[in-house]
Amino acid sequence: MNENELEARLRATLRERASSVAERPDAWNGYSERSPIASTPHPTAGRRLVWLGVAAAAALIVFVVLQVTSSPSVKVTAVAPETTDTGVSAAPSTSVGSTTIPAPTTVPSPVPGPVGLPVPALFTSSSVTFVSLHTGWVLGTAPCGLTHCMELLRTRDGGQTWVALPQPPMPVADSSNVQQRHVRFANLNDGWIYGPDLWVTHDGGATWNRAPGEGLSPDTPVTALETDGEVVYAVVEPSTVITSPVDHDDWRAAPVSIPIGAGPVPFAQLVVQGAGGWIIENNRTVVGGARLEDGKWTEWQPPCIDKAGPAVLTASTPTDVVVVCHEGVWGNGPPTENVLVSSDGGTTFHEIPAPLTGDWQVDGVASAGSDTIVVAGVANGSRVLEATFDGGDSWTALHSEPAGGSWTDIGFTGPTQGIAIAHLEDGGELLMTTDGGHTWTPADFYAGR
Amino acid sequence: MLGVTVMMATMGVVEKGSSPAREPTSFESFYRTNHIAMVRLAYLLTGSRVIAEDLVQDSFLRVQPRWGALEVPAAYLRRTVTNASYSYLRRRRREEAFVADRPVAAAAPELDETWAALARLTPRRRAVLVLRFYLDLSEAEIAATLGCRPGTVKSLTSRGLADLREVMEP
Repeated sequence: MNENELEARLRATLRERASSVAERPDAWNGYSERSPIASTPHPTAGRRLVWLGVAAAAALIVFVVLQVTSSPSVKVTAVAPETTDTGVSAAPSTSVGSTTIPAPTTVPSPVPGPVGLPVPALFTSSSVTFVSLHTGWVLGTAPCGLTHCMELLRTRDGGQTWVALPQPPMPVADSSNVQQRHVRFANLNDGWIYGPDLWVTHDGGATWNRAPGEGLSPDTPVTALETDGEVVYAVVEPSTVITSPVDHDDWRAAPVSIPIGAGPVPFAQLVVQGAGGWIIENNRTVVGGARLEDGKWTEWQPPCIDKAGPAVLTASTPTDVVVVCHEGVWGNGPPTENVLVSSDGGTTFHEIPAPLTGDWQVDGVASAGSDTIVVAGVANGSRVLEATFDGGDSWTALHSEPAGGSWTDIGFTGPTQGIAIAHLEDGGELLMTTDGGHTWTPADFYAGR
Repeated sequence: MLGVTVMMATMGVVEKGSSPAREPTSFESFYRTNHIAMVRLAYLLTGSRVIAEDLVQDSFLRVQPRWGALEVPAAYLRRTVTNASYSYLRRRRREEAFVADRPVAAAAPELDETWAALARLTPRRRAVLVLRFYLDLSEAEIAATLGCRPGTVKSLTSRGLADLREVMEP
């Protein structure tokens, strides 16, 4: 067979195969039901389309009204359930699930949320949140055409399988911008993407809108956000706490003042655990804090405010708090990591028996009860996870990569399930544990495909 | 240098044999005009109708938010579908051997043989052959679609045809 014959046969094969695929008559209806975005005319269409659109919209409204009034079974939402969810929700995981032990409550079936699509190729993670042992979301990016787009994935089986939700509309400016964006959900419907701006969804991620409200503007970046399931709390720099009910947008500034410090970049860490909440404001060093008690934020003095370095914190219950102080970074002595624990909600702290050793820079900490503390950071040039499972008597190396990088969103979503995002040079990776933090493995977003 | 926008503007998305149409004035019209062509393209690239439907739906969802701002949305859509199919095949090949749909009934034996041989090519070579011999794209257009140089397209085409011949004439 010469080249011309081969090419002719290939053309015939491709034509024959292509012609075997027929258009489905309901293709557009199926698509439009799943698409969260209303059809918009192309800008080259001209002004006359506005009038055509008005006429069509009016006709559509009349049609829908007639349908609704004449048929009780008319479908008015574009929501379809997936079969993998248990239909059980739980108290939200706060601080990316800093050890919220789920207290299951039944929610109506079918489970809300947009229909999932295949996870795009080359997805990289930037943030993760879970609202139960089963249901969680990962925010990240993936190549799309000539650029990268924001992507939001969802699991309803504890991370075994993932689907892509409609792309969140916020732009991907550059890699540094990506790392600033985080995702949190309070339940299956209400969620937020923040950093530096704030976006909100009330339909499970099908649509996102800029959150309007007091204290929010393009010049005031949101650096932290968490929720207790009823109320969502956010820190807007410089050092303002704003709150809103989770199911609608009514943002108001809390009457608490947090010192901003004299450093170049104020940055807050916010942890909410049940009825308890804590904010540490870092600006090179710990410069102040606030605590949530009886539903109100009040000023709070974090434990390492005079230690010449920043700190990270977590909480496993409303009273059990862990703070890791990176002491001496901006002082004269060599830097050290000091792990402090509190069992009275952050009023008093004491050091654990065994210190972290090595040249550490701790990015995050998670705790699953009083005995288990996992720290994530860079030690001696490697990106590492280390843990104590005996209340601080000894430390165990769990994960070590020679490359540097950083960690965000480390937390436990239950006694044995935990999550963390490892940021690499070429994108982030979601690690999960299901054995209480002893082993951490990368999530496989393409499993089951 | 030929800019990407210019390059994409030269790429029609309508199937071979159709005349280039004006850009549709609503997304529904755009969808209806291009949907089946894209499903067929994705099917030829992946070998699976189910996957093709999924990938095309995903691609329309990706294009829709920026559809109004695109100069030539059909070309952008085709590029999105091609890349999604290519990425899917690469991922699939890493996980398991490629398994195509069952042969379509009534196909001539030699066409079945060619189809089976096509399924054994690497995703990149398969993509180049489909774009070249189904959509009749030029080397420059294929290069713009796949994000590689025209010289690479020429090489992949040559190797792809050689692979086909080797499989069909061992």
